[in-house]
Amino acid sequence: MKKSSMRLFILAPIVLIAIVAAITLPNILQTYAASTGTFNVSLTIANSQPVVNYVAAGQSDSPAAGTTKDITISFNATDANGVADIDPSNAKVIINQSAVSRTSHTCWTVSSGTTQRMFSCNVTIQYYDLPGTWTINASIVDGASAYAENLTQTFSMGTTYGISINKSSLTFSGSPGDTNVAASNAPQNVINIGNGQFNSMNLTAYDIASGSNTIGAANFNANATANSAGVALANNTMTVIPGASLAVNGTQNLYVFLSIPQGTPNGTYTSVQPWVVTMS
Amino acid sequence: MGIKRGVIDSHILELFMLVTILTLMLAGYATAFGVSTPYLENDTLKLEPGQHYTYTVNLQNNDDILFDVAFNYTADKDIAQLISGNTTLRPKTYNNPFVFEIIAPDDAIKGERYTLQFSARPLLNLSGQVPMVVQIQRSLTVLIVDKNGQGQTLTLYEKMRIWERRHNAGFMIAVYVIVGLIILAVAFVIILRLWRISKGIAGALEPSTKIEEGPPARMTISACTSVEDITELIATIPENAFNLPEIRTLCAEKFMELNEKFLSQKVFTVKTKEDMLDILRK
Repeated sequence: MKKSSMRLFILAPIVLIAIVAAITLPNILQTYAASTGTFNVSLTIANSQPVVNYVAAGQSDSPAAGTTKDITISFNATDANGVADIDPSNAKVIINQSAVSRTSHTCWTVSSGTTQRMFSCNVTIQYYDLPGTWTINASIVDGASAYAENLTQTFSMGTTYGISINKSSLTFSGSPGDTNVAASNAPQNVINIGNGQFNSMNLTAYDIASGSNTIGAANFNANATANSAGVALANNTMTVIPGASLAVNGTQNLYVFLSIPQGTPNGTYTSVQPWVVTMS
Repeated sequence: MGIKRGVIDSHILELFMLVTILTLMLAGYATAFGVSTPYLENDTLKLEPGQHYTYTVNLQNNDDILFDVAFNYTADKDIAQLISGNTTLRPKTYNNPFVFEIIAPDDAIKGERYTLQFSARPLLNLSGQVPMVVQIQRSLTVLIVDKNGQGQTLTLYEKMRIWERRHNAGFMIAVYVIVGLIILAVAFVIILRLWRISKGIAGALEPSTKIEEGPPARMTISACTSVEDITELIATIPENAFNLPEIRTLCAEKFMELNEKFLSQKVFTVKTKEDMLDILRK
């Protein structure tokens, strides 16, 4: 055997052993360590911010004349920490217009998933809440007091034109020749019970009669104030009451005066049909 | 006796209280009535020509009694039509819809304005010297725009349905009868044409006017297997003896070929022998 071949014959096993040792030794050492040592594993899961990711769009409604009304607005809240972190008692909807806001009084869970809840909330609107676009603020607070809101949707408040009068009839008494007799229960109050304003008031009068005797509607005049120099009325004719209008949440008085013609027979006179107060 | 008297007094007192309450209720009764509409800026609805919008007016009864209402409306150029509405309002109800269908005319011009005006009033049997009721009168302006209209564009079918709704039943029956008759007439013509085509060119080649009958042609050839045969045959027939049906019978097979050849030309007028020869020369 040559000398170089002899050297190769000796070195080859040594190199092979060295390679095998380099591969296996770390694993052996690791296994040995795992079986005998201990590790402290500390994992901190941070609170995830909740998200209000959906608010029902295109909602609209109108107030109820003279009273309140509940509207319902729905939204979704998501929290990566799980649905248990979304507390229904912290769900809230506020609608705003200018400086006016209405806050939900009740919210409830409509459906729940792993990380998401859908809520519906009732908001009470007043009859005088102004028409137009109201911003919806749907919000949630999670278990770690993290707050989220969504302001992307609006609510369209319709217009309610509502009126009420506080007397079903006016009553007059007097003698023939009396002029500008005010109604004993004057004035008639015309009350706005809606959220739309009226720019004018009209009164349609009718003759009053007692049997075959009649006092013509032309003997009446009407005014928006207690001044008897109002506008003369006419039978079955719509007459504009000067200066009368009705703001939201306002009241407009209506005064009616009667001049009893000379020679009018005694009797109880009543209108042949109801007088009509027209607001427009 | 004292007890009995006390019972009677109690009943009288109850009756008195009941009468008093009823009297107060009637005396204090006053109408509370409302009309709600969707929010439209300045009560103006913007529509493009031909667009459609459903406009709902809700009547509201804020009283404790049921009453009927008088509801009236006027609309420029019939731009709006009331399609539903119940005039009886139950107590404390706030959703009694009166639905208008508004359609901007197809030929409306940008900037034109149309007005829908409506009024609602409770119909009440009131007592008292000068009883009073309230009436609410409102109007909606329809403004024609060329883009960003707030309505929907209708399909032809929807337009037809609306057109139907806007006309009374008698008128619609008359329209349907006329349309039915037109359809029947068209169908009859089509069937007639198909029938004539199915008869083949023999039918198509029939004279459109009556052919004068002549004596039967004397057949000088024994076969009729080509156009040339027909030509030759016709050439042998005296002018006054020309009889197309007879030739057709003799040369039926050839006429079938001619049918295919001249199908697109459909109808030929064949009055004379020359007419027939012209066709065969084509």
